[in-house]
Amino acid sequence: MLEIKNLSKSFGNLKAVDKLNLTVEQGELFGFLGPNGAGKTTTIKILTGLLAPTNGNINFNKVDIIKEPIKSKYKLGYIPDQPFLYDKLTGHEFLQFCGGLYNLSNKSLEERIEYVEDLLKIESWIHKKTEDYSQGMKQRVAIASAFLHDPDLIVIDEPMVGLDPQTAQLVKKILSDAAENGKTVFMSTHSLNVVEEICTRVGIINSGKLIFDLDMDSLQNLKKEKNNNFEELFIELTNE
Amino acid sequence: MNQFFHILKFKSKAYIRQNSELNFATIIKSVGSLIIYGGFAVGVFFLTKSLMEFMLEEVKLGSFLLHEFLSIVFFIFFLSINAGNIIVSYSTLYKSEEINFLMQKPIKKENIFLLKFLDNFFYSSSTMLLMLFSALSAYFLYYDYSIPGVLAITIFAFLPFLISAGSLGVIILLIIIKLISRFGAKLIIGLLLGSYLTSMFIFFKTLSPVYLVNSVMENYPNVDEYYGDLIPKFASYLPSQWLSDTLYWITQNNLMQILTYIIYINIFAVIFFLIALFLGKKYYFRTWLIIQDRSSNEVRTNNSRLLLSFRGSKWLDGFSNSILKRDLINFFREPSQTLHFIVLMILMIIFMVSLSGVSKVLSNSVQLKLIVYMTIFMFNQFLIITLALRFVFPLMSLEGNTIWKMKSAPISFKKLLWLKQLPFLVLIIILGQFLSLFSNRIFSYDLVIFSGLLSFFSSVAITQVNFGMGALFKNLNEKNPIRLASSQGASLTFLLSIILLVILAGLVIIPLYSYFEVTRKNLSFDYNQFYLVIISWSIFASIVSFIFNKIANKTAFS
Repeated sequence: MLEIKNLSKSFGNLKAVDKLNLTVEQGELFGFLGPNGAGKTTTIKILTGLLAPTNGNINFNKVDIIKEPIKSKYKLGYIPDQPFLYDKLTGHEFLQFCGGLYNLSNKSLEERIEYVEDLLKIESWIHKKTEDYSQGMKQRVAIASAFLHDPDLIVIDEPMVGLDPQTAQLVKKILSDAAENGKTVFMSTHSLNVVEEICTRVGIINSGKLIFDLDMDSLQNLKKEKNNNFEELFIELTNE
Repeated sequence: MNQFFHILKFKSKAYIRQNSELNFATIIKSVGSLIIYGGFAVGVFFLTKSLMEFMLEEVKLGSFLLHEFLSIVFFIFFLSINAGNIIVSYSTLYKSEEINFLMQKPIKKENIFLLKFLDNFFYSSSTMLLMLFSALSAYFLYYDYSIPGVLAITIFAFLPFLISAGSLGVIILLIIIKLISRFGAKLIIGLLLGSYLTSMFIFFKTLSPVYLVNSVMENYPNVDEYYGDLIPKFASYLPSQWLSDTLYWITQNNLMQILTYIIYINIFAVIFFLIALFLGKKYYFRTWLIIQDRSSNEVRTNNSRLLLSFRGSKWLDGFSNSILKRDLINFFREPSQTLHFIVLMILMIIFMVSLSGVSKVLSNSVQLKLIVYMTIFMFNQFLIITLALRFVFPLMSLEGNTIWKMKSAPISFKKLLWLKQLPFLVLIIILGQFLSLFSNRIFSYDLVIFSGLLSFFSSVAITQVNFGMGALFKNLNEKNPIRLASSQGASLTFLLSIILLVILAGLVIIPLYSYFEVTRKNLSFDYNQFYLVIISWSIFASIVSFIFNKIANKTAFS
């Protein structure tokens, strides 16, 4: 279970995240929505240890992410919107490299690589150097590397960037399956239809504050008031 | 530690692959590099050997003075590596995508710190180590020492010396970032630059070369003896002095003294390295977070300053206005660019100011005058080369992934290339003229004009070489200008520029010798000798400029 308590982050006078309280249960696929500059990326950067919070704390399965960053990162799989890959390594080597960072033994590493290569359908080109990959191929390798160590918490920032429809569908299925298998998935996105399609719960952040936090059934009821149009509801909620 | 070696293994794999790809272009580049690196190493070897022979046999300077001069060179070398490492480390330890990636993983921060520290050190020092090894080989050959001796001194004296300079750079960086978060960037960076200037000032004030020469020469012909009393107490605690003393005692075959100084150097290096590691473990992640916060907090009020505003200009068309302003804004908003630029400008000002002191040591000896003149002349050109390499070579690569915007815009690529290099071309020409003026007026005003004209053509040619090579070796994925300026392509460009410098030196040396000799005798000098050099150099520099301009046009957008 991911617990965010009173999380705040200020940059000078700007409050990027303002007393954010949020709990994402095991097995939930949480869609984190918000307009540009609302505080989504800042929250994710704090979650992944790339920024320190001004106040508050985050726990995952009772491990304090801020106080015990290394321990918590063993449980975390992070997929950024612009993944970093070493140009001169092949995708396969990159996965071997990432496995080593999580201290996977050689045997289990090869098994896991085989598993994620099959999961993401990347076997046919995984032995090419990553400098020759398209944006979508890079994204798939990044997703594979995030699943490599079988993390309990998956944090994903804009999962569909650069993906073709087939791959997008595959990724949606992978994320849904992960949640069904008891993983906690925290997904930041702008795609309302993706959220509607796969999330079990949705939160909207605006000006650093969580302004909306509902499960999908409640969302459907709310939508009905807006002619079944989630986009209209989202715009209304986030308009200041 | 397993994790450290794991990352190192994969990084080495990527590095080796990058430098061992076999296709036509890489083979040509590798063969070219081999010839130029090899030629350069041989050149440095013979230049050092000739200089040693000249100073010890012709000028009869003596071993002690030679090594004291080396101590001054090593001190400047130490400060340069140290300041350079602060700037390089800032980019690689705090501003790279790779660091962002590694920080997301369960890796101990001290491992990341150590990895990037070593990465910086070896990445940017390979050309320097090659030069050093060649110069040392010549030095030891002069004294009839063997190659294993050269290797031993490189490993046990020079390497720790470089490590201590690099470690000190990182220590200073960690401390200043901590202080910046409390006291603000302007104050701390101002204090840092002030302390560098003060340490240079104190060093040259206490260790006066003129005083040394006069004092040692009073004991002529016993100039090979060790005059330790002449070395100020302050200087005797510096690693640069220990290094030069090590070399001196090698020439005197005094094993105890050699070991003593080598132990000093190594202890110093170990201490500084350990302090760097300790501070890295304690502060690296904290300071990294400070930098992330500062970056996220940066809010720019665009158009607030007229010079950097994108609004249309009376003097420029829209296209020129956009390109020039964009490059200027990018330059001024990148701390590693502005800081390095300020440091180089300060070094130039110190150099120009200190030149006035050179007139005091100018004697009537034609040979000595020629050596002093050539040293200053070469150093001027070297400064131009450094500026061009650091700021012009990375220009095309820094277009980065926005190159698609240029390619898809209705613009003339030729004009774009001119606009990109124009500010630096003008700047380098102006600085070249200032250097010529300040360094030649202590000799004669004839030489100011002579050197000014030569410098003008060198500035144009060197800028073109750097721009052309920068386009040929462009790396659109690398955003760090310092890494670009220390890449393999940049090293090759540096060596090519040095070859130009050697050709220029070859052209001017005979007419200058003749000029100094004739003016000493108060005879009239045949200025046709100067005209011939200027015409030859202008033609040669123009051809070189033309070739590299063509290379830039062909490769920049390919």
